[in-house]
Amino acid sequence: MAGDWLPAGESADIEPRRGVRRCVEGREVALFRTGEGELLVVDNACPHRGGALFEGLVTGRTVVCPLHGWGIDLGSGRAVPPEEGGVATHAVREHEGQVEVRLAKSVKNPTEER
Amino acid sequence: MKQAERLVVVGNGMAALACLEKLIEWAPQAFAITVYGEEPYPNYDRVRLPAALAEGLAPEELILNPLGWYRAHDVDLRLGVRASAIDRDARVVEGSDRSRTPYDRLILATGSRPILLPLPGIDKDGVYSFRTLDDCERLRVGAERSARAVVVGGGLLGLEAAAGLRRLGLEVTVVHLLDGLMERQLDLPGSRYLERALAAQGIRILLGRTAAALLGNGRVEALALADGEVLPAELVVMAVGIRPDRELAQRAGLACRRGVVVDDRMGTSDPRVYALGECAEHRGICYGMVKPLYQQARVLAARLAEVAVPAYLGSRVSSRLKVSGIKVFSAGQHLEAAGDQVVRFEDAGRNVYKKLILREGRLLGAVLVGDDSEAADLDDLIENGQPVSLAGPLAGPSRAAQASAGCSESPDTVICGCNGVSRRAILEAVEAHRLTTRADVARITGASRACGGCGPQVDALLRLTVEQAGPAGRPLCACTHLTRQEVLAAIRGRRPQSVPGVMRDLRWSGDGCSACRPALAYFLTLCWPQHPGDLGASRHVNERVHANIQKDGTYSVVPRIYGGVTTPGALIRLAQVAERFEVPLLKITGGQRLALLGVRKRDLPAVWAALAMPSGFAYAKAVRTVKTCVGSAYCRFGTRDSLDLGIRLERAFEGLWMPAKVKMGVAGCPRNCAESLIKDVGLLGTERGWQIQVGGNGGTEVRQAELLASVEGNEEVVELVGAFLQLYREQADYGERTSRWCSRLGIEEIRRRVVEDVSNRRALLARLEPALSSRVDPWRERVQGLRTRESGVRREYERPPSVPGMVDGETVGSEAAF
Repeated sequence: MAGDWLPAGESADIEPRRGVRRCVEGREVALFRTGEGELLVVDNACPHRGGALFEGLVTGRTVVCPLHGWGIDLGSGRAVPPEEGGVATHAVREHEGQVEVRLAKSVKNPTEER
Repeated sequence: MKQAERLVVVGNGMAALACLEKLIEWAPQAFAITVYGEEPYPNYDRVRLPAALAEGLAPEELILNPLGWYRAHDVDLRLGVRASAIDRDARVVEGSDRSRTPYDRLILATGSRPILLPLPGIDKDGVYSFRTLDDCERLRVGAERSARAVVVGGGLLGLEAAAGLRRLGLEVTVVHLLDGLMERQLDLPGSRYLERALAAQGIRILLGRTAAALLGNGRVEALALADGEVLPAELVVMAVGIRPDRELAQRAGLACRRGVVVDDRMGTSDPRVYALGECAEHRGICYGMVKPLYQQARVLAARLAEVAVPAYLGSRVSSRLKVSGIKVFSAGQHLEAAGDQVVRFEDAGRNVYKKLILREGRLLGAVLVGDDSEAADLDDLIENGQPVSLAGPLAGPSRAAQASAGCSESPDTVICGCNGVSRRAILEAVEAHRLTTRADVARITGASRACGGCGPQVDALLRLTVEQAGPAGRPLCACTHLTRQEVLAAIRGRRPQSVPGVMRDLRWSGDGCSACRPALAYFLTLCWPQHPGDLGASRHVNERVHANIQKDGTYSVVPRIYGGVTTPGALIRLAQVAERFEVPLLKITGGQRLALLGVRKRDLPAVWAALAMPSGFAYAKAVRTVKTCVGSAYCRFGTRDSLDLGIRLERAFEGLWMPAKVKMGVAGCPRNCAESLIKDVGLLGTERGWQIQVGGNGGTEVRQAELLASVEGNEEVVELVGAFLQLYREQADYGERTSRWCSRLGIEEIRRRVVEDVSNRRALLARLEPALSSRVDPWRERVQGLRTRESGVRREYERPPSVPGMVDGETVGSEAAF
């Protein structure tokens, strides 16, 4: 069922409370490290106007889109209410200083998957 | 149950409505009320008309009782209808619309009319009186197509009109019949000090001169004086005085002298008819100030509601000139009689004049020009008639000063003279309703609702409660219980820190939010400018990348062009960079600079290196542009070198972090081509020097700047602007523009801390200095960082690394973003 784990760069490049952008199998994803060190990955396009999420401010497990300030919960991919919609989330792991990502199959909006 | 009596009120002004408000409060269902209002507006604040003219307030901003108020209280309001006659036998009021309204009781509150001198040409276009909201609108429109104005009359109203027109940019001359201004409030020395203060604002004063005729062909072109001098003017304001409007009463056969004669309970010669306000004459006096009108309104409302209050025995009047930047206060007698004790204080350097008149150990009158900080205390002393010692009133800190220091001992001091609101009443309302703004206090207590003169004291009380309240004050955001001041104090009191370090030390809940994290980053730059640290993770992308993110993920690059002055070499370089990096849009910005739009992030360092120009900070909460006009360098109207000062200001304050963006303007003459009046800091050149205007805004909430100070030299400008910016840096909420901050704090308070309190100014400048001296150009810093292969800079700007098995970041559709 699950796809392959794909390389997505070095662990050290992702600092706490920052995001980076990577292209994995032609899909642009944003990788974030929270203040507590957790890695989280979502598609790098805000559901609002497609803003580059990796440039946003990371607070807890939320990123705030740099274009218009939408909050995106990085765990679920859902926009923080009152905004609606969301982005796909992807599995991620770290191994010997390398980051690996497993892309979600569905490109669907997660709020429609309930 | 008693049937409601029919009450008709002729007049819809402040006196009438103050009476109705009280009456409805005391006897809600007792009367069926009809109000005739000749003007097409509900009750508005006539006292603030001059301020409205100067600040360009919309009519609705002056409304005290909106139409909804009348509806909510079942008041039948006949707007735009003049009461044309009273039939006292039939007990009916006839309206100009031919309506006939029967009454059981009738209140006359017809106010007063401006006196129009019977001069030849008085009916020409461009000649105005200044009494109503419509007058104010007409004046404003007239001012737009005029360059020169003459105001006839140097009393309160004339001077306030003159100051308003001056602020609109007109050349203004005041012609006054007598040898001193405001002769009903000031003595001659006081007038001299006031004349100097007005002259400093660019208002010309002609005393002892008589207006003789208005010249012009249909439209007024000049005012001729009796001595033959001709003053060219496209606009003339007649402000020689007001006359009680007793006409209706007189025709109805009511006893009248100068006004409608009333007794101590506001009754006229007809037991069913009452009068109050400017049209009424009580014990030989017609009052034109709002405070006595409100006192009369209360007495009449009590009589109608059958509530026991003391009779009206007359008012002791105090007055203030409401002209921004000029403080004039007068209470009680202003001229001494033989045998009175007189205490005078003069300080020509600060242009301050004070005079107290004492008789038999009691204060009888006070005149203050240039410094009115003791006004409330003196007003109290005169009102109460307490014995005073000569060492008292002029020595030691004033009670107002004590109030702002938080150690006042008299909660009963009346703060708002117009509405009789005490310090205690304000503090209790602030506490009970958790009030935070002057407007809130006005709504709940009435304080500052009429003339606004006590606004600064209300602000001081608000600050006092907020500052004293500590944790009960508003927390910075939901992530902490600490207020902005507490957070700042804690940051200042510790060693330099990172944002996560501050959050840990101050027991933040969670990881902060997008409101507090950038604010904390700013506070750190404010308190520890020499220890910048890495604030990137808590800054908005623009301030982290030092370029403005665009909708497609590209960035804009706006180099600094000091004062909008460039060179052929710089333009060639800009053009070459634009071509070399295929910049899709090259645009001249509203701030007199050139923007390169659509630059890929990874090209930013190379673009900056090739430009070799300082950052324009067009993306930051910082000092952005200084817009200039050509000024005396080439302009045939220019009186001052605006280019020189603009460039100097931009160099002095560029790259300084601020609570919000700061834009400046420098115009070499009052034509104001640099739009200085809608800038955070705007300079206007005058014959004598510079006007420093602050708190303007041309954005979503347009606000005209207010005069902070008039100074002579460029040095003083840079010093005062520096102190103003530092006060703003320290006091404003993060994200709060100067316009909101200035309205919140009040220009008087800002002026006190920046201009008048010299030691405070020095302290502000001393705290600004380290921030100025530790500035680095962020673009050059990053270009060098890349050259030395600094990892943070590389990670930020270089293209994503190519990973085996990972497709490189050049994907179709997002090419531009890389």
